[in-house]
Amino acid sequence: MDIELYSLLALAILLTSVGTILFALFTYIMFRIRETRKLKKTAAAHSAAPEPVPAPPPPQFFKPYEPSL
Amino acid sequence: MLRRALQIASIVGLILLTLGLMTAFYFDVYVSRLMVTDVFLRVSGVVVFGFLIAMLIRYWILLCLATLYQLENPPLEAELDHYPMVTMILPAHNEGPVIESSIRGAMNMDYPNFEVIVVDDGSTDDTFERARNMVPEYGGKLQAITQPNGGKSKALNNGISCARGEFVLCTDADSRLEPQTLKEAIKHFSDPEVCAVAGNVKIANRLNMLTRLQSLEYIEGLNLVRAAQAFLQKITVIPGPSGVFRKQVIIDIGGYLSDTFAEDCDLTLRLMLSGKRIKYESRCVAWTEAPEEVAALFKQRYRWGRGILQAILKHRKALWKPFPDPLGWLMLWNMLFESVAMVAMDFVGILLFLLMALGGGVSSLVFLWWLELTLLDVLAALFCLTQEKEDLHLVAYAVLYRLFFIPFVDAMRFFASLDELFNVRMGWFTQTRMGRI
Repeated sequence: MDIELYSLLALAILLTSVGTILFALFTYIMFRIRETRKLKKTAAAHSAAPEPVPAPPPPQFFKPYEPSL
Repeated sequence: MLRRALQIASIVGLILLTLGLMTAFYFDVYVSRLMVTDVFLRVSGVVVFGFLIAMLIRYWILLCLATLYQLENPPLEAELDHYPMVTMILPAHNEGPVIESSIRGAMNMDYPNFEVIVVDDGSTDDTFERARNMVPEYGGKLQAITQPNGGKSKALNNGISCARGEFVLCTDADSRLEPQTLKEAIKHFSDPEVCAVAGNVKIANRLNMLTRLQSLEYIEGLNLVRAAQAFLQKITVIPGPSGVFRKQVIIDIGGYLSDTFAEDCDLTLRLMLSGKRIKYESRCVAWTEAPEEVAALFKQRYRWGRGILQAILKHRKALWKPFPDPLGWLMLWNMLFESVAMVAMDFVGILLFLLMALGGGVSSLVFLWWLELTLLDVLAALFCLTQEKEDLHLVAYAVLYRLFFIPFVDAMRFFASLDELFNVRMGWFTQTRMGRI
């Protein structure tokens, strides 16, 4: 296979990889913006709501986890 | 059996041979013909080549171990003398549109002694009412309970505490289990050392390119790894849609905990690190619904990425204690390597190649690199699809898998890892169900 053809194919692969990562970065930024808004909204709703009454502790059905290592 | 063994041996042989030739060709072009003299290019070349070798070794080990697992675990044909009681637990949050079909699917199980408990996790729709209305239809075999919204872990624990069975099958309300699942799983418990059986999760909604790529990923990426781990008896994640446990073992280990976003991974790590034996059964198939859009896939993988890292870091003390279980210790390090280092290496590889191509004029190596990895993916996909008697058309997606899917998923895992390390706040996201199953 000719080395020039390699270069062209390589360029296409690199552009695709970089493009995919940039697209992922864009998706991440959009996600962070939405998530920050959602968390702020939830925090505001919680601060407006009356203090919840703490529930009684559940009966000890499961044994507490103790790491063996 | 012989035919199967030959089939496996030929595919593995082909993979090894092809990769060997490709690596030799790559090395020949890099070392002999391009005459790279620049120090940066040389160092970059060594780093990238080292990464490639690490990837190849990882794939070879996975394929060899998965093959050994398949050879050592032929189908268990014998019928059981005794069918112990099994409780299937279906946690459900706002699953109103699908809960009835989920219950009917669960009730179709080909097993003589089981019950189903639907645990409504504080749904705001009519999930609980719909489930409760079905109770008379199935008599004592179906229970429906409800709890204030507390998450999947609490719902599963609630179900386990109400279970009458000696064994529990934990699944999702949006997954469908194959009817033979319980029979296939329970056979493994004739060994008293076995505490859990991990099932095989497959994508049901193969409707567009994204879901088909995920199908391939589940078969090639996740199940291959699980089969390899099963040979070593060190499974690191019992998947949420299909896991069967001895009830007492879950109780003894503290049940599901809600301090990570990957409760199934956390539970499995606790079992593994306490020396419990976990089996994998590829015939325990759970069909699940995959995200059909990029944004939904992003959320799912972000949660998985952070959850798995949380679970590893939670057990970080075990990273420094290779004894008394060196294999478990190695698996934990491997998880950390795959969660953080491999993702970072993918990025570094692309960056170095970009610099080498732009600055050094050795862009042809990029093509060889991509070709080699794609060939690896195609052969691994062929191996896994043949093994699981899956649709061979999915092999074609292995090309796109390396080009688009892997960089995208790795980028998501990278962002999730960064957010976890910097302790960025995160809420719990639920996947919008399309009701495809």
